[in-house]
Amino acid sequence: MAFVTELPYRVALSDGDVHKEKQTWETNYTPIYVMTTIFAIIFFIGPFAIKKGENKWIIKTCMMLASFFLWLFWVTVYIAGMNPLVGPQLRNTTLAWMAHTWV
Amino acid sequence: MGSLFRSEEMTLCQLFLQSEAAYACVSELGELGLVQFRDLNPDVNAFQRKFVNEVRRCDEMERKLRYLEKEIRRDGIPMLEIPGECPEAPQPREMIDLEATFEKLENELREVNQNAEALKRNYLELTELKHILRKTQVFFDEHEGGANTTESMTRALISDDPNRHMGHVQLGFVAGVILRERIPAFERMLWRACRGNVFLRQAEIDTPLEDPSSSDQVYKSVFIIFFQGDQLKTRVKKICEGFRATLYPCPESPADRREMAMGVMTRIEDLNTVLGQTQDHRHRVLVAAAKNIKNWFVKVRKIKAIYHTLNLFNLDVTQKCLIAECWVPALDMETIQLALRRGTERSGSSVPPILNRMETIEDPPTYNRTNKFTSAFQHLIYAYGVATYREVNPAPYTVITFPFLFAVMFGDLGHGAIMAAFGFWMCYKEKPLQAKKIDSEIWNIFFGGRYIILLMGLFSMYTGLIYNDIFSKSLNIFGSSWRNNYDGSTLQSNQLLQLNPDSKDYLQYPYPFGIDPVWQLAEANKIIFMNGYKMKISIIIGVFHMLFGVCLSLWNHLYFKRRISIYVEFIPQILFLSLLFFYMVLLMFIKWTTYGATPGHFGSQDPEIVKTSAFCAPSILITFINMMLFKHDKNTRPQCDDFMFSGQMFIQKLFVIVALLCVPIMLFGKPYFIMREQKQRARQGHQPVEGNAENGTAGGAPVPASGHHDEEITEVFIHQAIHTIEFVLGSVSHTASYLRLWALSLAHAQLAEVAWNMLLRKGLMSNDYQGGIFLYVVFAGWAAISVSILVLMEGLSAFLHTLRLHWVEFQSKFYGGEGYLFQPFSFEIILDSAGQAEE
Repeated sequence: MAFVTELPYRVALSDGDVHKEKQTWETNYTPIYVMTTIFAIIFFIGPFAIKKGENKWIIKTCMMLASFFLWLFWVTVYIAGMNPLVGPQLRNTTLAWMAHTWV
Repeated sequence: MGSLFRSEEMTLCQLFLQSEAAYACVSELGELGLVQFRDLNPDVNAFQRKFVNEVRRCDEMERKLRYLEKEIRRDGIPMLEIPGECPEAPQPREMIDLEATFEKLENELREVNQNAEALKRNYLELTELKHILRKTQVFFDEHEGGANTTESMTRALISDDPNRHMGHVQLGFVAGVILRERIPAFERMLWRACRGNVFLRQAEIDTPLEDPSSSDQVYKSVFIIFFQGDQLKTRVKKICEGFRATLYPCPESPADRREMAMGVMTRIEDLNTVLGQTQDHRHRVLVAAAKNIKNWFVKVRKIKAIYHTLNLFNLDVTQKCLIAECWVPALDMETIQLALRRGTERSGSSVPPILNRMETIEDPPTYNRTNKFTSAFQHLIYAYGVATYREVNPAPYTVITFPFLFAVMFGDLGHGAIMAAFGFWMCYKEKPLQAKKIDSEIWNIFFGGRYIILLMGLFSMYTGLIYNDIFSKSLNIFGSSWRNNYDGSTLQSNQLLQLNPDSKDYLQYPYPFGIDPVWQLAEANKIIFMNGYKMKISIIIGVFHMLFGVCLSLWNHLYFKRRISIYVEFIPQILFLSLLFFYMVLLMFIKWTTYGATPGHFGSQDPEIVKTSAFCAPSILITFINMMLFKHDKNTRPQCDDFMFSGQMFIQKLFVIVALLCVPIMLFGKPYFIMREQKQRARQGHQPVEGNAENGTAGGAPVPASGHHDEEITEVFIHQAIHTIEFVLGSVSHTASYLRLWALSLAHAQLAEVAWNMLLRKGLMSNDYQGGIFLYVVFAGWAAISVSILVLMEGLSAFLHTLRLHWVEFQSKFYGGEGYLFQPFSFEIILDSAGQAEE
């Protein structure tokens, strides 16, 4: 682990505050609505789009199962990340790089 | 319904065929492949069946064909594959023609081979003689030279008497050829047996000679033995015989020898020509045969299959008609009737065949109509147990859940992409790869599961995106939700710093798709965070999977008209699972949404806000355990509440009590109803017969009455107890078993990280030109490890665990699996298995 004495970047301090002041702190539910809608369309409306073919039933089943499980997987990650209880433990070099690149 | 939801409806049919039309009809049915014949002569010996002669003739033909094939392969002639359609089974009268052709071919080939062998033997003898004549020239020269010979033995044999200068005339000799390996033993034997009175010279033949019978190349040596007297001659000859050395007459005088040598050369040349012509003839015969041999194989196998099937039939009393019993899918009756009509027309018979249904109480075979996509998944399910007749088929759901559960364990965008590319290549190049008929068993396993591999790869790419893991690195597509707010001096004085979500470090909205990219950069607590998340998602997926399995059992109960089972089995099972484990899932979601930072009030000490902060977040596991034990621990942290939502204690107690009440219902419900039903039936036995029909169906009892009468009550109780214990204990152990989804994904992520850190990272950090070469080498190592260990080994491991999850955790909730497979009489299947057997 490198112990840095001279940081290669200038760490942004006060500029950021103005930007952050403007931010609203409400919980953002938009991604949930968007993704749920997308997967709900595939789950509920998709099966009606398959009208012909001898494999109708299995295609519909696959669509419904796939959309449900993929949605479940995504929504669990999102909800789990909404209110994290701990934050990541990072090295000072990584933090400095974060401060420089992630504005 | 001709779908995969449940197995097809099968009918037992009786088939009446006129004897003349029987062969053609069976041939048509074989092409169709939809009929499973039953053996109507099970106690008849194989040698006493009606068509045993024809079968024997077919066996003979096959033997001749195999001999032909061996010869063709020995010469390395390519055998033409059958273009287009397989040939149809020939008529019985064509069989005689085929037999004659094969007989002729076989005889011709044997004759040619015999001649060739004789010629080769001759050739060998002449060649050996040639070598002898050449080499012995040297021996005799030395002998006659006399003066410069260093062989003291020669001196010993030749008399010292100067009068007898031409002493060698009195010496007899034999010349011959022997295998090189035998020479030392040969020498020793000669020395011992003749007490050193014979003299052996030998010279090696440089070129190897071909042994006519085994076609091996062997090295031989020429030898010449000088001796005096007849006794020694006999002895020497016997020894030569014993060592299987071939002796040749070698003339003494050089002139004779030269004449002989020339004669031998001419004869060798003649033989060569004849030999060449023989080989040409053989080659021509084989090439002509090679064009048709695959065709013939198919025809002969089809004839044999037809006669085997005809052997299963019964001959009726009038000796004019054959009777067969067969299992037939109900939806295919029309197709089969058409095929039978075609067969009758082909054979020119006037009487149409009769196909009529039979009623039976036997269990029909299980038949699922699959296409090339679904057949692989169906095979995965059948490997554990064939579905009971008309039971709900788990295979169509496996199409999605299997790749999904695999992907949860495999989740890496990069490795998933490799797997998906491999699967896609195999599916795209399906036809050319199939036509190649590659021998390797491992390849055939991978190729057979190409659609499974493709789906697994695609789902793994999705889960890799969600886990935000591509070759152990994360992608920052939407912008991370974590920021650094430490100032320069803090950073300089601390090596490790932690970000606090209860502050401006976290932007209070999560990364929109998947896990935040910052976690891959985290040092010590990446694994801790991921563990908490992955364990919960494993349990959530597991509970949904198992609930789905229990719901499938409802369809089984409805179809088999087991109404009582719905009340005493299905409903208690659903209640038990939902009230305990689905409740735990809900607790997880509640914990995720209730506890955390309150935006705008970071670090506040207000008691209301503290109650919903991370400080007060309870452990779900402890909560669940306390719920089951009816314990109510006071929270160790006085600022925090004892509960997560109001009314939690009451609801939990209620849930546990109802769930525990479900257990005796599962245990005693069904036996009670069966007992009641048996008593009713016993009472009905004394009542008039008309009342029977109404009473029988009133209680919604299972339909076939004959079986259940004799079922002992104790048996029923034991059976039900086993089921209940299996379910109740299984619900706990299976839920925990789904944690393997977490375990394997953790292992995969760590292996990928190790591969990166130890290999590719060191390569990427190197400098200058030598760094470039170093990176080149290191990349090869990293790629090899990624593919062999991470994709292949981990893939195989995750595949196995997913299979186990399906077979045990999912299917134990509803699957009977006590059926037997429908094995139709199909030429395709027979030819495939025969083709594989010979390879």
